[in-house]
Amino acid sequence: MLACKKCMFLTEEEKCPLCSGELSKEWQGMLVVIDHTSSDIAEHMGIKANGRFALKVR
Amino acid sequence: MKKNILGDFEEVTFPHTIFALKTALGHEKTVAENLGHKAKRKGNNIYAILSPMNLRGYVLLEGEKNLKAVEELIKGVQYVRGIVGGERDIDLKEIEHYLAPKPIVADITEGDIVEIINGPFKGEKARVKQIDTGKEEITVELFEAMVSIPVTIKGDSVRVLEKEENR
Repeated sequence: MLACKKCMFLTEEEKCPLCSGELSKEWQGMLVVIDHTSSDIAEHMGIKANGRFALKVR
Repeated sequence: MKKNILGDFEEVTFPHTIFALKTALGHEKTVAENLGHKAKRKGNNIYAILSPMNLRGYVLLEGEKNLKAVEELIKGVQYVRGIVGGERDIDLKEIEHYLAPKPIVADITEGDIVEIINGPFKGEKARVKQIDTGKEEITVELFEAMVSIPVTIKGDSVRVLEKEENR
């Protein structure tokens, strides 16, 4: 699984499906957002989509 | 749904909270993913599941303050060992530091004496010459080397032995 360096979205694809950003295989921590409209954690991190996100991407 | 005093059914709403779940060591991300899939399928009013990088053996679950729904969700999920603290609320402020982890090289300054803890130079002592915060890499000069050649290594491959400011 790769993480987008820009939006931190985790994906198996070759390009970030959210922002088309560059991907990195060096990432740590994970946030699974199920309902971004209700989640305070997603709001705090500025996440406006559901899915899996890394907490840190190198 | 529950009946109110007029006998009509009304939706029961719960305030938001964060639960801590104990998991098997090293399986935090698997638990987060599996719980995420299950919560999406079952609609347990779980909003997010967090597996912080420096919190081993636990995942944090944000959702409605409904212990029964969480117990229902974790039932049968592999590697979950139970809910920690039961009904106790965890405030977002308490976990904020997990959401924006500080860079690994934040505690290292130029001139520090470090010990390399993994890789081909494991066990060697060195002095920090340069720090790349973006890449989280440091350039060090090994003490034992005959000729001083700068070596660039990952920031998490070293342990600080002596700070420059303390010398």
